Amino acid sequence: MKIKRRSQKEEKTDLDLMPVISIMAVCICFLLLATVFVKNGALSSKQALGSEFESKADTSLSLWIYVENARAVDVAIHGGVAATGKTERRKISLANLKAFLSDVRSQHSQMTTALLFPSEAAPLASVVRVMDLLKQNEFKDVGVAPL
Amino acid sequence: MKYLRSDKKRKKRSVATLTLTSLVDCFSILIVYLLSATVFGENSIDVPHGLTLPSAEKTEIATAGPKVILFNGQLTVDDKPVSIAELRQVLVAKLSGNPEWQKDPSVIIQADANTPFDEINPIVSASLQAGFAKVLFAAEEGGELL
Repeated sequence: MKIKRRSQKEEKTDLDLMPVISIMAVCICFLLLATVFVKNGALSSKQALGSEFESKADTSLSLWIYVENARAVDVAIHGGVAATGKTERRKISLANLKAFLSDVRSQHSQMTTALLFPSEAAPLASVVRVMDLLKQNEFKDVGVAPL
Repeated sequence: MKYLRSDKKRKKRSVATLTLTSLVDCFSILIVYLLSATVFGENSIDVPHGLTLPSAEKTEIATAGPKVILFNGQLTVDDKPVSIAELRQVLVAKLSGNPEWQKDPSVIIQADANTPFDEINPIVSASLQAGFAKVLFAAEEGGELL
């Protein structure tokens, strides 16, 4: 009986949590400083250098987008049809552009090139928005034509 | 004496134990959240105070390259002010001075979301003339879209 009582007393041990809390507090401070809450990225555009554009552009099917303002864009499909001089240019609102691009991709799965023609007054936000929608629809080669 | 005794009793009663387990639990959750939110080893884009980047959903990590910032009409390349006329020369010097950048020459352009493209165009043109085939437009990921 005596042995039993002793062992019961010895089992009552307290775990000192203060060092754990100290380490955790330091970790939290470090992570709070290191964490980036607003993540910034970038949208890349593949630009043609020199005569590269002239040699490549007309051989493959590509989508040309004219960004005039923050509300609407003009779109035209170039490539096989462009060789015969037939290109349709139609106006689409930015809100409907996503649906249009997915339609284009489903119809022309080989089309991965898009060229943007921003106007002088086109805000950067619109250009980036169009580029973003193109990237979302798997357009790999997106270029921005200088004015 | 009576007073002293009662004071001792009071002292004994006032000894309280603080349950720290719940605090440790909270700290653990915080650490897990912060660890998942922290981005380690990626190039972050430092945005000047007051500059609102355009928003985008499908952004990529900005690779190494000179950072051209257009803010309040002032043009800077890697935090050094330059003029539009000097930009091409500065970018050529940057590219020739960094052999790593020559493998995939890219320039990162940061400008306000409302900046008209005619102000961005000289930067794009100068970048192309300097030999940068990849132009990256900095954007805030998942921000308020148009």
